[in-house]
Amino acid sequence: MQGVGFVIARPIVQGLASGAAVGLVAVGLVLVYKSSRVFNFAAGEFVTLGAFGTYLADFWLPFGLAVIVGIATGAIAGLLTERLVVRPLSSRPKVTILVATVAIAFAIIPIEIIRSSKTQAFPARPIVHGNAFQIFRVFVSWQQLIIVLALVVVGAGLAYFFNRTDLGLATLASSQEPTATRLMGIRLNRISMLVWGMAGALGGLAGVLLPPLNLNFFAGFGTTDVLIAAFTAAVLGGMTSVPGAFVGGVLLGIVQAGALANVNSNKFPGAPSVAVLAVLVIVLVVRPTGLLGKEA
Amino acid sequence: MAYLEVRGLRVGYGAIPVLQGIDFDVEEGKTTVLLGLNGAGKTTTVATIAGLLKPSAGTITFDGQRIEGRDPAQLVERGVALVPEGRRTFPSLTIAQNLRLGSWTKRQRRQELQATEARVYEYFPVLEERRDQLAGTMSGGEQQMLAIGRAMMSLPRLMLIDEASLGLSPRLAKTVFSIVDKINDDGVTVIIVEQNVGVLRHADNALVMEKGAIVYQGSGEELRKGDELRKTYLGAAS
Repeated sequence: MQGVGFVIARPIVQGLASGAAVGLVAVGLVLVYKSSRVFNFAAGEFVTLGAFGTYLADFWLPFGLAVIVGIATGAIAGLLTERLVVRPLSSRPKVTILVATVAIAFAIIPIEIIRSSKTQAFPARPIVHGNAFQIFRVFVSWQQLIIVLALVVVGAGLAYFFNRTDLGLATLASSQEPTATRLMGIRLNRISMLVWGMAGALGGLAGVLLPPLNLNFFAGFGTTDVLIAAFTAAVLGGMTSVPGAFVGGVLLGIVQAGALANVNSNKFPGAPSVAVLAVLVIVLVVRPTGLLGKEA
Repeated sequence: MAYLEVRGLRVGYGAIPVLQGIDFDVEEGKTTVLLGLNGAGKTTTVATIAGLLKPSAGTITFDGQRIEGRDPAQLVERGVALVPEGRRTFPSLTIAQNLRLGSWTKRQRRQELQATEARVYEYFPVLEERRDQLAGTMSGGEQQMLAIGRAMMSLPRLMLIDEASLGLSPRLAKTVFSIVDKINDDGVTVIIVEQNVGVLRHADNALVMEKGAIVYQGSGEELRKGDELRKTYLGAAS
């Protein structure tokens, strides 16, 4: 007989970790949306490329460096997206840029599939093996703990960046009044590159952290498995709120894990997705601007 | 040579021409008022000087150097600051953060900036009282003060102020322009864009624009005192 503590703790532990990783991607989506009002559908592939970067670099480099390569791969993908696609289209309607980001994802996924020759699963190595501790008879792995810690560190870092640094303030300013930002002598192109680079790095970090939870990953998994969850998390949080994206990601992870653990998947397949949709509808009905959003 | 020299300036939005090849001079250390009705091309003129618009023809020379078509970032570094129409403060940032961004291009000159910030607070005490308040929660007059204070933080040599009195009560507008006088007394050359002829009492020189052309260029006092001149150039607006 499982205790009440176990029933409650298990989805929280599992959901916290997977939701935190999704939250990282959601933050990237929010940063890009705040700065350029673009829904970035290439964000999922920043995750996949981060996973591939780590996987491939692990053959040649110590794992610690491979992790950095994974994050850097995501960052470079973000920078290239800004420089080669978003900036040349900056005077076009936002929907054109949105479609262009979809095209980027659709261009990257076949390249990944060619690399893997078929829908092959690649083993994903955790940063630290084994379990860290046990709570209500639920094992908490080091990987799960590291993901949550990463979310806390990234959250604190972003809070410091946006509130305490000139560059962070300039980034916020550019999302509020682009013309006035230019009149301060701030170059919007550089801010845009910074934002896309950060979004890419966050995606790359999620690509390093998330696959070990499922022990493997496959080509395009960032788009098929992570992107919709990240968009949902961002909308839950308010789409323009960075803390909201974190909260949205964690809430989404816990709801999904709760549904997975407590609903019989044979009788009711897809229960986690339905539960997330239900929570999304409830949040948007009660609070249309999302949990922490300020604008509709 | 004048401090600011504009020659044959032509600017348009797409295929629609707005400035039809204008010429004017601005003297160093003076306040020049640019008057005209809606659509005359006043905002286009200052936006082009500040680098927001690129001219199709003509030259702008500031302190002996050609600046037309340059990026706003380069112009702010050279000492050109525009207080834009509609204030355009950063609503979700505090007053202190707005001012800090005003000094973006001069971040290395910390000591000088502290003195400038103190001068902004001296001119606009309400900004110091509310330095931690979000700009978006302030009244229109306070936001105008913030927009001017933010421009001061870039240590400008030429300050362009677009429609500062728009939406302000006459009393508040008078307060704002008396501060602009002080900024001018500090040695900053000022160009004020206005529709309200009352601003002429603050002007050394005046320019009147009509349909993208300069139709009057002369002393502010002459225009202010000359009823016929005002009626001729500004019509009902006078």
